Amino acid sequence: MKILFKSFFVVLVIAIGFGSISCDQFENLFLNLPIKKEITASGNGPNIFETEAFCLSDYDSYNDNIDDVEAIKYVAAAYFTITSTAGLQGTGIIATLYKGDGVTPLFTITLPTAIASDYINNPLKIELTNTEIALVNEYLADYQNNDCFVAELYVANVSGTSGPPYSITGQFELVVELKLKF
Amino acid sequence: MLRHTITICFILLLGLKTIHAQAGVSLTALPPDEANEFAKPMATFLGSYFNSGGYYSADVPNDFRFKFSILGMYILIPESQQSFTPNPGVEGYNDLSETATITGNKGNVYLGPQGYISYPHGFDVASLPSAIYQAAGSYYGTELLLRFFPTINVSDVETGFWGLGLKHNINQWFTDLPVDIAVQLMYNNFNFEYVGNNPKNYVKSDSKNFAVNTHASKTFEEMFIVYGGLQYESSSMDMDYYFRDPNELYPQIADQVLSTSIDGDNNFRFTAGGAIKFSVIVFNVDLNVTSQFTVVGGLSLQL
Repeated sequence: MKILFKSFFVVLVIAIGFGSISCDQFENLFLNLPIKKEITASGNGPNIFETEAFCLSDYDSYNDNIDDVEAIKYVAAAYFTITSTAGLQGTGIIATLYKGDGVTPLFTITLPTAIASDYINNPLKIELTNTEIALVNEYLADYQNNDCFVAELYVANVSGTSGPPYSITGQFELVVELKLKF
Repeated sequence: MLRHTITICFILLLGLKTIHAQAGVSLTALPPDEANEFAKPMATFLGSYFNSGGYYSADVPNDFRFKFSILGMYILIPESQQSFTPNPGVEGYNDLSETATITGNKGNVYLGPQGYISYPHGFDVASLPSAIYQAAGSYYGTELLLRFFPTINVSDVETGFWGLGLKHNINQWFTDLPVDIAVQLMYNNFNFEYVGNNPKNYVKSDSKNFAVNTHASKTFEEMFIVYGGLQYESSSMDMDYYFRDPNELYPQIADQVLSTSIDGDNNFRFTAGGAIKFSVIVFNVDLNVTSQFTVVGGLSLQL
């Protein structure tokens, strides 16, 4: 009988250990963090531009998990126009993402057409080259020091059916993935 | 220490701490209908978990008996429960490809007129080992099953569970049945609630799991038991959670506590298994064909 009870408790310990396996099953968690930054550029031309700074720490999802972040990587980016001066166009609409210093570009995209209204309710998915993605990821790798960015919206040789002044409000979107330890 | 270990394990097992940690872009990133689809496998898992292990024999003696059991389970999450087709209900986001459920892998991002909508990643689990304990007492061919864990507070989450089962052996009403036959009802309730200081992390869940079964068993040489049963079961999970709207697509319902009720995919279960008795110790293993195929191994001390 004593042996049976001993066996019972041995298996009990094993059973608890078995349950503990499930605790180790989730080694990492991944969160998508959508970053949305509105930028309004206005002026009389010929070129109008504006920059907006933003940081990952502006977002609850990042701040809530900051102690558990192991890595951050780029997922996707997009641009769309929210509103603009009637008929606003130029020789180029350019979106640039800089490092937090506002000087060092991570990537620059010239939109396929330079007509602002082409991107209203019709976002442009920003397709980065592997080199550009690697540059963004390299910057994000040191997220403790590099959690800020500067986005710029630039319209060259702006014109419109009304104005000057001219104005364009666009939204820059960036999605990054946080790898969290469990 | 033992209690602490079981508690921690249990909470981690169910991913509750994880849900809490993911507050930003997990359940709390989704409006109720989408949160429902995302979390459905978890409701099903809880059903598979709590509705398992109710018996290893249909024999319930008339004299008083007591048993204490430890059950280990291995629950397989089928491929079909790893993803779902999102329907965010926002104009311009139609015909989207599949994204992960809570047990799936990659959460997708979709570009529409108002920018990106980002769905949460799952935990990427195809199977989940788990364990539970239970006690039962029987008298006059009727057995009362109890499962209980007191509500405790761990990592800003308050959680606990309880379960009841009632089983009756019908052989006493019919003579000369070739096997033991019993009917059983089970109800298990599991709840957790975030009780920390950040209202944006608020999540509360109440999981209700019901099962009714009939099962039969045959004992050979007073040592070997073969058993099987058919069970109808259901699971539901009422959930309240703070909706943050990180995608900024639902301003009308953002930044408030929303509710949803998630029905698991648990319906019918067929169980087949065997047990071996060594004096007061019983080992049993059974296979359960249900929405999430489950293997149960049990060790019981039967007095």
